[in-house]
Amino acid sequence: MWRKLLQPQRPLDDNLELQRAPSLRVRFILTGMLVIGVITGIAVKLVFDYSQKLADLSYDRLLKSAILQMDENVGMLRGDVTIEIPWSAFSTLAQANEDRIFYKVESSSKGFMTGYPDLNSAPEFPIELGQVQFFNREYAGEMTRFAWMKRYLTEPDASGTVTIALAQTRISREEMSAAITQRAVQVVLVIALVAIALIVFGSQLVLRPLHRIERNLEERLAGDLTPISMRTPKETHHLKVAINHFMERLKTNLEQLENYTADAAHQLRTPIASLKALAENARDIRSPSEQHDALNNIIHQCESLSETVNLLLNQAVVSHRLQTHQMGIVNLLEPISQSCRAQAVSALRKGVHLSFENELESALIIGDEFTLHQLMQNLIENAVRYSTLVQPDERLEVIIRVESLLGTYRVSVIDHGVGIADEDKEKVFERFYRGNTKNQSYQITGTGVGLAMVKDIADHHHANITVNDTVPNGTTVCIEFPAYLGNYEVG
Amino acid sequence: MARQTVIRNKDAQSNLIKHTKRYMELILLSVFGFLVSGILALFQPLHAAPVYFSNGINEEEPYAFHEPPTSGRSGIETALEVSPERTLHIQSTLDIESFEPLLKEFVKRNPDVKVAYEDINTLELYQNLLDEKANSNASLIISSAMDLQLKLVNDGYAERYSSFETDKLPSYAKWRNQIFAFSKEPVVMVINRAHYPGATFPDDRESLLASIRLNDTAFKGKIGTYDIRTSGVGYLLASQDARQADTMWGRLIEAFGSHDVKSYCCTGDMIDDVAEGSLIVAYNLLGSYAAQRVEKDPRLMMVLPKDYTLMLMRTALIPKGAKNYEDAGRFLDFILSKDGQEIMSLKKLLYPISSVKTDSQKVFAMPLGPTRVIELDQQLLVGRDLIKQQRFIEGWRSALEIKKESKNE
Repeated sequence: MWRKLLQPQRPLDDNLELQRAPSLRVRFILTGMLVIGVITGIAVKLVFDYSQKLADLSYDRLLKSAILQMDENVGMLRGDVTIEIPWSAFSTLAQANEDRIFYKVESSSKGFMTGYPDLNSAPEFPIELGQVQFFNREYAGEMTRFAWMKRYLTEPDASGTVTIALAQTRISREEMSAAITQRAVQVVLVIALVAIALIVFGSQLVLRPLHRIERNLEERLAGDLTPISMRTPKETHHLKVAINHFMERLKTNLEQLENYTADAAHQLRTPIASLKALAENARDIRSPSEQHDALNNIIHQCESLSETVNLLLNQAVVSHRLQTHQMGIVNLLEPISQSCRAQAVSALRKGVHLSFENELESALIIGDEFTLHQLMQNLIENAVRYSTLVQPDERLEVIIRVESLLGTYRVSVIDHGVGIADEDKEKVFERFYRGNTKNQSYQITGTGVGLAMVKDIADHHHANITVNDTVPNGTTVCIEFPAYLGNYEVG
Repeated sequence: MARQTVIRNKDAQSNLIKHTKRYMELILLSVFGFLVSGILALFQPLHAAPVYFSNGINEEEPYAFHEPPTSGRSGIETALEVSPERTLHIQSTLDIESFEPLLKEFVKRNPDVKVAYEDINTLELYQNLLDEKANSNASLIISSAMDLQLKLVNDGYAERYSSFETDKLPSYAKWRNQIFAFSKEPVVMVINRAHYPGATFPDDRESLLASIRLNDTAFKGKIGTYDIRTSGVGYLLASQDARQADTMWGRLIEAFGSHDVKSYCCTGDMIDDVAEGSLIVAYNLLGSYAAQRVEKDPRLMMVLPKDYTLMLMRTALIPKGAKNYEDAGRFLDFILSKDGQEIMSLKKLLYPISSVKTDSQKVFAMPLGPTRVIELDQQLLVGRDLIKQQRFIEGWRSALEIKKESKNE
């Protein structure tokens, strides 16, 4: 059974499975790229906004300097407000190489003074006298940046206000902003690419210990179940430990199986050898009546052998069931009464009387009916078998009793046989242990696996199993099953 | 008007009236100019029409230039190919004499293009372009009045143009790819050798002023300069002088005013008068004209002021909605090309914008002292500010007329 697992699967299936399987690395890289993409997008947007602001800030300084120079040269000439635009004002603005310049100077007394009469010089923001304000507005088919200011004339012979609007197209600003953005975007993109490369490279690096473990396992000889001893990083330590634990369990199981097989072979060898001796004996006997007895002996031996084989088979089935079958809600009384009925006739043939004592209507537990049946069968068989070892004149009785205790159901199998010595009570549940009964052991048939199986099944049902003496003689085996605490009455 | 202004306008069709509302000063002058040019047109109808250059076809235009058909092509074939739309109309302030060889060469190289060349005053040129209806023909505008040209570009009247040749231009020689300088020449004085009083000829403004002071009577009525009211380039030069050296300009204008300065529209007329002896000195002349004339006329002498020499660029632009944008660009490329620049230099027509490596360097005198290049950028707008312009012209006129009135008393 376990050899089958080691056979390699067909390579085609292997490949198909590999193709369909989601890739950890691809997932990792994609997630990383997505995150980096989002971050890059945000960074570019920020840079774009920032570069616009920066360009405006820089060129607004030029514009402010120019408008202030113009403002400084507002004066009075023969009682009239006038302006002498200084060359330097526009040479400041000429630093923005390609940008066109428009302006308009107005005063409260004269209205339009100079510049471009059709320039819309209405301020964009609330007027603060003496303060320069900046805004964008379209003029002459181009978006322009306006510097705008209004102030009171301060000359002694003047009254009223003067308003200056100075506009400059945005080409240099856009160029500067584009230059900053371009450089920044280049840097951001390089960083993003490096980050992605790191993720790709890193994912390779991160998964490398896994590949190493994989290779270590691949390269092992069949049957090599020694723990992985290679050094691995912390992150894969638990995986390594889990694999090692798993292998340990596998190893134990395999050992048990091997032992079981060896012991079973051993158990079968003795009866077969005796069978052979009996058969040889029968062959050599001349007397027909003696030969008849010898053949009867052989048949008896065969029955016993078949019983042993059945038991072994049952145990294999039971252990398989215990491992694979889900447990459900079971009425404990069913398998018990079935077992009693099944055993009653064969017990009577041996002169043992079975009695089933029960006052409950039902006893619900979580369990598996088949295995419970096996459990009861074993217990009753054992009880019957050991009952027959006492003096035949006594009345032989095996009592099966079901009681409800607090939260548990206790099933007792009571016999009045030879009993089990105290030092053996601990060992009866060990596999292939055959108790040294108080008289002789090898007269009764048995494989030594029955009670071990009982213990397995009981453990599997979280049941507590104890072996006590029956007064005055005999053995009482008690199993306490936890009751099912569902909607049903607990007792 | 108290003084007679010499105006020899060659364009009878000029229409200045509509767009001079803001320039009160100029309205009067332009009405006057219109009348004069109208009268001139009556007597000299040949001057009124633009000059045509074409290859192989005889148009009715009197000044059509005919290039002999190139080999393998008959004139008739060319005539068939020429579509009437392929006329490149150029309006320019350049004298035809300075430009003719270039135009001829261009027509020779582009036989299917006919060039109509119209010589026109700088201010008129500017006004024409503002009035879109009056100026529907010109596809290329060439002017020495850098400030007016730049203002046209700033105010959105120019078309963008970019080519291999314009890309080669240094950045100071173009703006926004809408205006291109193809010539850079010094601004000079021309003096009459024979009539100039004093032992030495002046080599800068200071020495000119000293001569005038020493020979007060000799200079009376014998100094000529641009009339900044009628000449765009005259205004530009004067305003740049005032900008570069305000005090010197003040002293000059005062001296000019007290010696009955004569104002002219054009460099050519001033040089004529200097040659004839009716002027001793003419101030602020365009170097290329002066150099041409001085070369041929031993009576004349060109002075490049040593204190500083203004450098003026001649610029070309393609007006918005130009009918023949393509050929305008082609012509622009031609005059900016190595060949075009070499023709300018070798035939002694103009100072090239790019340095041409030929022996002709010695032909055109280059400034000895520091040069002040009039920069082709937004600063030029300041000079054309309404108030600044009014006040500058007012100052100029009062400086000249006050002196005159005081003399009349």
